[in-house]
Amino acid sequence: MRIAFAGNPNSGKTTMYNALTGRNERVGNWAGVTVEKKEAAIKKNYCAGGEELVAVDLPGAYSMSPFTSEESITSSYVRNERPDVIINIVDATNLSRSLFFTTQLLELGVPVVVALNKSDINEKKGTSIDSVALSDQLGCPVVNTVSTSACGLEEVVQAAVSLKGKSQKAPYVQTGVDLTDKHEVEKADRRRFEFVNRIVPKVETRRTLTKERNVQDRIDNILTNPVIGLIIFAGVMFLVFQISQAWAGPWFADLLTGRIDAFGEAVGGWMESSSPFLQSLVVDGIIGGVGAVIGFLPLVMVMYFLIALLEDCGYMARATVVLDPIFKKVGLSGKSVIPFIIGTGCAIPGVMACRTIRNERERRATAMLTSFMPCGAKLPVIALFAGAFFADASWVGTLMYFVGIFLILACALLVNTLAGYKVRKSYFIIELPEYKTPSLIRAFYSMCGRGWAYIVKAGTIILVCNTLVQIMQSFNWQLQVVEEGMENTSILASVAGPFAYLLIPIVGFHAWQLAAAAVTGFIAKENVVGTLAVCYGISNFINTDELALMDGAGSSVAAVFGLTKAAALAYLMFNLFTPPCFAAIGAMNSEMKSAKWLWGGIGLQLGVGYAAGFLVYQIGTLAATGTVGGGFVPGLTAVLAMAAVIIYLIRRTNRRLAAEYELESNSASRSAA
Amino acid sequence: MTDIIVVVILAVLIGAALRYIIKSKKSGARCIGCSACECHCKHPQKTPEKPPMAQRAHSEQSPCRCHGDEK
Repeated sequence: MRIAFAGNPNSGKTTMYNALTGRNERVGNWAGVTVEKKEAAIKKNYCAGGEELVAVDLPGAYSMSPFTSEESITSSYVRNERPDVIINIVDATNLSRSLFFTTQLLELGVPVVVALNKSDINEKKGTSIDSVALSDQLGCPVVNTVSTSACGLEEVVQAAVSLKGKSQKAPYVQTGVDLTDKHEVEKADRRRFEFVNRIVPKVETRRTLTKERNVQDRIDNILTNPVIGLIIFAGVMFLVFQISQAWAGPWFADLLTGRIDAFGEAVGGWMESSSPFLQSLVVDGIIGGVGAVIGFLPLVMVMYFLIALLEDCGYMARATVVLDPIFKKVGLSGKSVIPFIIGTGCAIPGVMACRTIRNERERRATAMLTSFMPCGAKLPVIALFAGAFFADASWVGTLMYFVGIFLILACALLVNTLAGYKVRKSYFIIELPEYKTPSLIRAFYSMCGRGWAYIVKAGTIILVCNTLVQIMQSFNWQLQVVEEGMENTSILASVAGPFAYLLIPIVGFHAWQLAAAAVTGFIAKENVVGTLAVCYGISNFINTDELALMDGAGSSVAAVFGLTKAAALAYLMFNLFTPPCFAAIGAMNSEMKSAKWLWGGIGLQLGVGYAAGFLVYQIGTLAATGTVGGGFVPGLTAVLAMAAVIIYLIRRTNRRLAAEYELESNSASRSAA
Repeated sequence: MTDIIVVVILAVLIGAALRYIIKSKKSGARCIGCSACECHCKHPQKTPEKPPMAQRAHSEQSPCRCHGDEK
């Protein structure tokens, strides 16, 4: 038996789905979190009758007439797939808006159970809903639920099971509407809302009226203020980085890396009689490389814990409101903010969240730009360079996020210009969730879930990549073991060598190790850290003080890399703002549905990453030493060539627009004549 | 003897990692152990065609021409 979970965005569908199925799908208090249909079996303790029940979690929709592709999924599923029962999760705190969709679902003829969710919030606000009266009005069972505490779930599933095979009578039926006439459709919608608004006063009693302003509204005035809100947002992000990168994070990381180092030493001791190659492979390549990545796990987990708290308390939704006017000015949809915020966790769900954007051009532009936001995989890279070159300065991480936002804004203007798109008025409507004390337990579970995923990645992709890197570094093309100190004759050095020439304008010298790290970073960004660890023989990047004693005595990580601060920042930006990984490119491909836009996006990201790295290095070196850095001329040539291509494309677009305008004018003149 | 043990352990570890990666990719996961995806990033189902403008219930405030397939 299939039970579909349908309802408005942020009504609690996925939370209920997780509670019933035991899954751990991502939840968030904004639209765009669930963009795909998901199915799973409901836990046995909810299936009283013994029949297997399958829950189908659908993306949120406000109407059966969808605007966006994820709403289309919901609309199509309930119309075409005909689930056995629909559980319509209704946000009890916003009954009149939610019932619009409910009345449409009831018209389908599929049995519906209304789960009046967030009843606990209503209780606190002194709002009561007579579920019996509502059930009479709608002609279907109504059950009070609280998804977050699994309250009422057994009753709602039982109600759904009892309706299997029965028909559904609709309390409101709309027929004879000419769907090709926009005005008639609007009038029909108004009639539906009138029907809903006749029901609501009969069943709902409010102590607090919506128009009354409360403490939350006053807080929102400050947090969503265009100036103060932005300053607060910057401060909050800085604090998140300070806690995760400079205070709590490194403290936990020190403990972990100590254990990893001890483990490495123990294994090295046990393998004393083994071949030098195997010793090097296991101790330096695998334990060292994977250990270097794992060493940043506490920093990443602390950051995710803090972000989960910010999401749960309702602040992140306010952050989207603060950023919305800024993004609108560059022709992006206000809804673009949500994919960018999601992209700070991982670019892939960020790109997929672009489905909530109706306009195809805005959707593609947003998908292309989402990866400029530093994602979770880039955190170890940021932490490594911040720690090694800038004394754990947390401003480095915050700066990278704001540079990402700046690049998004600049590139959005560029993309619109290239596409010949004039900035038009767009709107952004988001429901601001209630402020609440964030749940430490939920944040802890979220942190653990992400931490586990990080470990899985380290134990699979990073492990395989580091093994390959170590083998390639240990052998030359004649398959002879390379002597210590002669790694530049290895397979890895010869493969990465040509790419290293491209990096000279960014770091100032030919370093195949940096090139190898950048290339492996396209498989998974954490590989940058792992590959650098393997290539330079460093396993502990966390305790940079202790790294003063290295091979070559007195070297620190910075000196081992041979990078100046400007070069380090430039190399960091190159890694952060070029395409993040092949999986993200794959996600872009799925969402763009256009080879031209996909390759344009990849080209834009590569160009921006390269140009940003080049400018930062050369200007930084000029400021520090009074002369430009190595590779200035070739780098400048490359950047100017990219600029020339962009100027050519802009001119071509302008010519095309001018020709179209002339054609239209001529047609209009001929028609007038 | 130590070498043999090490090679066997490595083969098991790398083999298990590769098997996991291949199995995940075959089941549709986009990103292996993506630290924010938590295995949610499966390949999307084929999304239905966007319905024509006439079927949309709500009007738009802005004079947009955004409903067509713009390239």
